This record gives sequence, structure tokens and C-alpha cells, in this order.
Amino acid sequence: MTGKTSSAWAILILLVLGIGFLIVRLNLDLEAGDSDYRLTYTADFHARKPDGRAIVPDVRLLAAFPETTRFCHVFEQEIDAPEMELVRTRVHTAANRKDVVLRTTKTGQLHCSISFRIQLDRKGDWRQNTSELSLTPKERTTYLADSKGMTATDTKAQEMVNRLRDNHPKPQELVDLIFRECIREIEPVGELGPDTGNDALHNQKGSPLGRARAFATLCRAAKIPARLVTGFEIKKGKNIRPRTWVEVYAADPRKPAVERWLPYDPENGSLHALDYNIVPVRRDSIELIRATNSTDLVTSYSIEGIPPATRTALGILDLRRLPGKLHEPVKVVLILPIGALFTALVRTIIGIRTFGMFSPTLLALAFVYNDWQSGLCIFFVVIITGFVSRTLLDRLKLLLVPRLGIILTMVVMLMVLGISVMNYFDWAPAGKTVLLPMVILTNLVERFYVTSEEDSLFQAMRLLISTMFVALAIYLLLSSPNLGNLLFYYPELHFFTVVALILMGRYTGYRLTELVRFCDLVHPSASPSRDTPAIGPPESKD
Amino acid sequence: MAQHSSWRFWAWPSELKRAGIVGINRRNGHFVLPLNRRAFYPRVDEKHLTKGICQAAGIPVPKTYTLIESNGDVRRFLELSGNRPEFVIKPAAGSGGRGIVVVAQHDGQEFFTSSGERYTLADLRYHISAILSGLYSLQGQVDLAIIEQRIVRHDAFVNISEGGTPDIRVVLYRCVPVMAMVRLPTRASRGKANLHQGAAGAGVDLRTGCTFGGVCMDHTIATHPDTGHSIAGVQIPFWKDLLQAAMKLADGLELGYIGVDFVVDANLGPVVLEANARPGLNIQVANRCGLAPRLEYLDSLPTERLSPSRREELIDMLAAM
Repeated sequence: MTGKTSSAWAILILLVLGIGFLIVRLNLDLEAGDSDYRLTYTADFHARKPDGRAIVPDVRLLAAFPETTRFCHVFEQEIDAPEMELVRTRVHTAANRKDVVLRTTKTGQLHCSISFRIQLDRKGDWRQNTSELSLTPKERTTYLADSKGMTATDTKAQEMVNRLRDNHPKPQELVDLIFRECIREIEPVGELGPDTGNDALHNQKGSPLGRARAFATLCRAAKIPARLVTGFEIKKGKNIRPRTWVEVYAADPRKPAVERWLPYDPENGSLHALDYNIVPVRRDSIELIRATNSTDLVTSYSIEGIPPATRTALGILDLRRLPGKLHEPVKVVLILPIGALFTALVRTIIGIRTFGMFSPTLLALAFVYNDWQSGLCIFFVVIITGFVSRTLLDRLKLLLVPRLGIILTMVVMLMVLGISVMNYFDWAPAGKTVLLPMVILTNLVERFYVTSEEDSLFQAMRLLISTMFVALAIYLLLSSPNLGNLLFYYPELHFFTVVALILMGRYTGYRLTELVRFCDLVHPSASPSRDTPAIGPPESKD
Repeated sequence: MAQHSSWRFWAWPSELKRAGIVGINRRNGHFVLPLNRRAFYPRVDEKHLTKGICQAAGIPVPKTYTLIESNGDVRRFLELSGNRPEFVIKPAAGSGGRGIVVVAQHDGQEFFTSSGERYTLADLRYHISAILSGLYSLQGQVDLAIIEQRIVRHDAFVNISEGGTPDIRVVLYRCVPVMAMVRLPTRASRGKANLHQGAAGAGVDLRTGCTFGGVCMDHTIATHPDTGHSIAGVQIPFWKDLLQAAMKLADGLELGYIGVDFVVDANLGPVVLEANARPGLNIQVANRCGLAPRLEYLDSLPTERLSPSRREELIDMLAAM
């Protein structure tokens, strides 16, 4: 059969294509991100003449490398320092830290700039797991001890911690209490405020650094290891200020059995997790760039948005190089075939009938990108009210298209009203709007009405419920957060979707519902008609 | 047949296969897709084209009084159709009996259908407009309204139908009738001869045109649910003529797998109502017999056109399968 052979060939070709693309692209460096930025450090300093004994000046510049996190991927650095040479990129595996080390033998005023390409992915790379670092006893001692601007033994700090300890909180809860207390008690007064933790505690006001130090001081006073982290909030800007926050070694609130470094950012009050665009650069220090044998080090930092970098032919398949605002719509579009696949499965293998072929998928998509409970609620309100008004509309004897227009208008009005009502009673989570595909709803209302008139209300309800059932099943399928990402990373997976669809298109076996439908034929049923003789055709015997 | 427990409400695929039941996927994949050319679908999907083919082949059809093609003609539909005392309005591209109104009597202002429903002139005009706008057509595309002769019900079915005219469905494969059934309106189907709307069905012996068995809403029955009369053993009048007409129409349509719907008119004999390129599979339930062995047998024959006498032989053979 030609259809069969062609299908077999098509499947083979698609499988080869799918697997081939996957293999080729998995071996390429996968560069993540939805927005590309260039973070540039510039440093101006005065290299000193070598002192007495040394003949050749040895000036070194150490710049900390931004850290790759779940949300942020750091790529190659670019060094612009004509008078300096790159010695190496020093990596402290234990501290998860990287430094760029530059060296020069020149003296006098020098300038250098180092830039990194950074890609941010708001959703986070699901493949990148943050490694849990354990704390050695030596490190514990270090992170409990007094250090510059943080005197944990200070009486004020001790007093405050003791006061908060009154209710005997668990260490992690204590940290949260201290954090809240810090934010409340120490007024932020801008860059020029008190810079050290103890000053900030005493004066009850401080610079961002002072507040972070104050919090770390209190943690240490409570015998909980804490350290400063300096990094950047990645957003476009010139002369941006590095940001300092605190990491506390405590039980993870989500997994209380595990202790890890938890971030606490007094600047924006976030605790346990940082915003996706905050990138740590240096731990246990506030200096990002250090220079030896030099004076007058002046550093500045800037971040600019850059066009995506991939320019290879295969890069066309790499959708992540698309501008960030395109990511969500592209993911939505990529998910659609999965809905079609599921609908095909439900219709040709299971045999459930629905209103329209793609309305379940579109409804499911609407639920995925909204809040599905309120979506469902509005859905039923719209269908029922739409049905009622359609019944009233029938008396007006209008032609099809204007009538559909009126139903659409009513659907829109009801939906807007529904959203407004939900908002009024604070039912819907803030910031989420429910925008169901209204044209689909209009068609549903119309077909629901026509089916209930032509067949029966029962049949119409059955179709409506199976439509909803399929939509919810597709919703569950699609709401897995990784599916959109997976297809976004590997759009060639859709070759396999097509294979699956071809296989389903060639399926000529029974539908599951037919097993029930034709049951009576195989088992002359136990229905009341059984006692009537001679219902078989005269000579029919199989 | 295999033993089964009475609580089991499903059949295993192997059981259905053994019984020769054809499922929807197999019907579409093996018979409809390969044998029915898409380009010829309008011949069955649009009833006025089917009627044209019937008339060309000399097959009786209900007389067309007029075709309403534009909204401008809607107002004058009574005059255009020649002020008949009784007539039928149907959408040309309708399916499943949707949108059909049978006017049994009227005085020009008030119209009564065969089942006693009352329509005003405005109602009927609105109904025709709705047909034209595509409310009843398959994909909602713009449609025509056919106003045609009302069929006079033949006495043969008077005891086993309620509120409407029964029709006879013949399924043809490679232009050979393979199975037939008669569909009997019930109160539940509101006079419509459509099994999924609740009409009853009965198998028809292809050789004799005599009914046997019965089905209603996917369950076997022996008597008409409303009249209580046995639906087996009813002789369909003019059976041989009906089969001949079905074969001639299949030739004219050039479709390999079709269902042809007839009604028996008291004066004209069997007339073609419509043909269907995706006939439903309930005919198997009505006949208590699977289509697969018959279709497979015809598949095994050489692909050349089958002669009329050969078809006669085949009908007898298939009926005995």
C-alpha cells in the first residue's frame, strides 16, 4: 500500500532528522538566556615604581568573575588592557570563585577594562542545580569571627540578639527575625550613611553596605555563620554600584534537613532567594577588583544590553538568542502541537468527541497562561449565561453572522464583568488577568445551543463536559513548566511529534469507545429484548 | 459466541475483530480515504448535485420545486415553489437531518409540520435565511435551501414508525451493496430517522429486502419503542428496484464507499434522499453483523469494474456471509 510505505519513509526521515539535530546540537555548547548583557569593569590605577630590591615592577590586578547561577550564565570575558597581560584565570573551586589576574611591568597611570557577556533567563535553567557547599570548621570560625566593620562581640549587637532570642526560635527562624528587625530598625540613608555594621546598629541608620554589615554582625553575634556577598543587579546602566547582601549558613526553609547558604538582601528585603537578575561576584568581601603595588585605584562598572551572540547557521535553531520579550509567545506557539497531539490521541484512539478540534487546546493554553481556577469559573459562567442569552436571542430571528457577533459581544462583556467581580472580591491573584479565547467561547456557546436544540441538552452537556475534560487534561500536560522550556531549547523535538501524529493517522484499530459501543454486537446483551427469538439474519452464522 | 459476564459493558478488541466489526478509524483509513476522491465529495455533500446525478441516471428523487440561493428570494419562497399545499424545506449541505422542515399543510400564513409543529410565514422565512447563512451546513459555509416534494409515506412502515418517515440506508462498496438497514423514527428522535438522535434501526436482508433484528440507542431491540410492533419481518417494497437505483447512483457518484438513503414513496416507489461519503457504522449494530468480511471479500476481487450480473451474484453471496 503506497500510503503505508510513504508513511514509513516519512517516519524514518523525521526520526533521522530529529535525532540528528538533537545529537548535533547537544554537542554544541548550549548557551542559555533570554537577555544578553555586557558587564564591564573599568579600573584606573597608578602603578608604583618597584621598591628597593625588585628591579622589574610587578603590578597585579585581580578582578572577580561573575558567578554562573540558575538564572544567569556568564560567558567569555573580554580584556582591554594594552599595557597588561593576562596571567591566568584563577579558580577557587571550593569557594566557587574565579578571578581574572592581570599583570604589568609598566609603571605610571594605567587603565584596563574587562567585560563579560551575561545571559539572563528569567525562568531559570532547569539543568543547572546549585551545588550545596558544606561548611568546614575553619570556614565556620572565619564566618563567626569579627571582621572589618562587623564586630560581633559588640554589646549592642549582643543585646539585640538576646532580645530576639527570648522566644527560643530555631536558628533559621532567628535569622529571619534578625533580618526583619534589621530592616525595620536601621533606616536606609543612601550611600553616604554609616558604612560599618556597628555604626549602623548604633545610629539606627546606614548605607546599603552598612545595613548589610549590621545584619551579618547580628548573625555572627547569634553564632550563625554569615558573610557578605557583592555582586550586581543586572540591568542596563552606566556607573552602576555593586550591591552587597548577606549569605547566612542556615537550614533551608524548604528542606529543613539541609543547611546551606541562604541569601538575605536588606536592600530590597528579599530573603532566602534572590531576584533572578542578581548575580553574585565576590564572597566575603566588598572589593571586586584589587590591585597590588599600586595606588589610586578607581573602579567603575557599567552594564549594557547587547544583541545575542550566536551567529552560526545552527544558531537559527537556537531560539534562546531571540530577544527576551519574544520568548513567552514562542514557547506558547511551540506548545500548540502538543495540544494537537493530545487531541488526536483523545479523538482517534480513545474516541471522545469534543466541540471543535482545537478548542480544547486553546482553552488549555488560556488556562496555562492565566490562573486556571478563575478561568474555569469564568468559563462556566460564560457558557451558561451565553446559553441563556442565546435562547433569548433565538426569539429575535437573526441571521447567523450578526447573531454570532452579538454572542461574542456578550461573551466579552461577561468576561470583563467576571474579571471585575473577581477583582472586587479579591478572588483572583493580583496581576493575573483571565483572557480566555473569546472567539472559541463564542463558537462553543453557539454550538452548545445548536446541539442542545438539534440533538438534546444531554448530548450538548456531554460534549461540553468532554471538551472541558480534554482541555483540563491538556492543561495538566502543558502546565509542566519544563515542557515549554524543553521545546524552546530543542524545537526539533517536534519532528517526533509529527512521527507520533503520523502513527496515529495510520491507526486503524478500534477506538476505546467503540469497544463499548459495539459490545452488544458481540455479546447478545442481557437487555429485555433477549427473549425475543429470531433476531439474527436468516442464515447468518459466523 | 464467547461467554461473558453480564456486568461487562465492553468488548475486547479481539472479540470485535472476530465478529468482523469495522471501527471508525478503519472505515476512514482503509475504505473512505483510498476510495473516495475528495474532489467528488461535493456530489454527496450538496444534495442538489446528488439529485442532478440521480436524474441523469433515471433514479427517482423527490421533485425539486425551487432552489433558494439568495436572501432576496426568501420572501417569495412560496410563489417560487409554486404555492404547493405541502413541501419540504431542506439545506442543500445539511447533515444528519438537521434543518429539514416538512410542511404538511398550510393556509399561507400558518404552517403545520408532519409532526404537528406550527410555524408562521415569518418563522419559515427566518428558517430559510438561517439555512442560507450556513447554520446547518457541514462547515458553516454559505448554503442553498431546497424546496422539494413531500414524500408520501408508504403503508409498509405504518406500524413501526412514529412521527416521521422511515428511510432505508444501503452501504455500497465498489458499487456493490454490502449492507442495508431501515431507520425508524421514534418519539425520542422527534420524527427524525437518525440513529444517533434516538431513531430505531433494523437490518435488512440484502436478498429479500426483509427486515430483521433491531437496535435503538446502541442496544438491541425487537419491537418499536413507541408502537410496540415487531420490527422484524417487514418487507421493504420494490426492494430490487431500490438496489438497482443504489448501484446506478454509486456508479454516477464515482465514490467507492458510500451510504445511500432512500425513502419509499407511496406513488414513486424508492426515491433517493441523499448519499453520504462517510456512512455511519451503526448499520453493523442494526444488522447484528460486522462489515469487515464483506468489505474484505470485495477487496480481494480484481480491481476492474464489476458487471451488473456479477454484482447480483455478489449481493447474494455477501448477504449469506
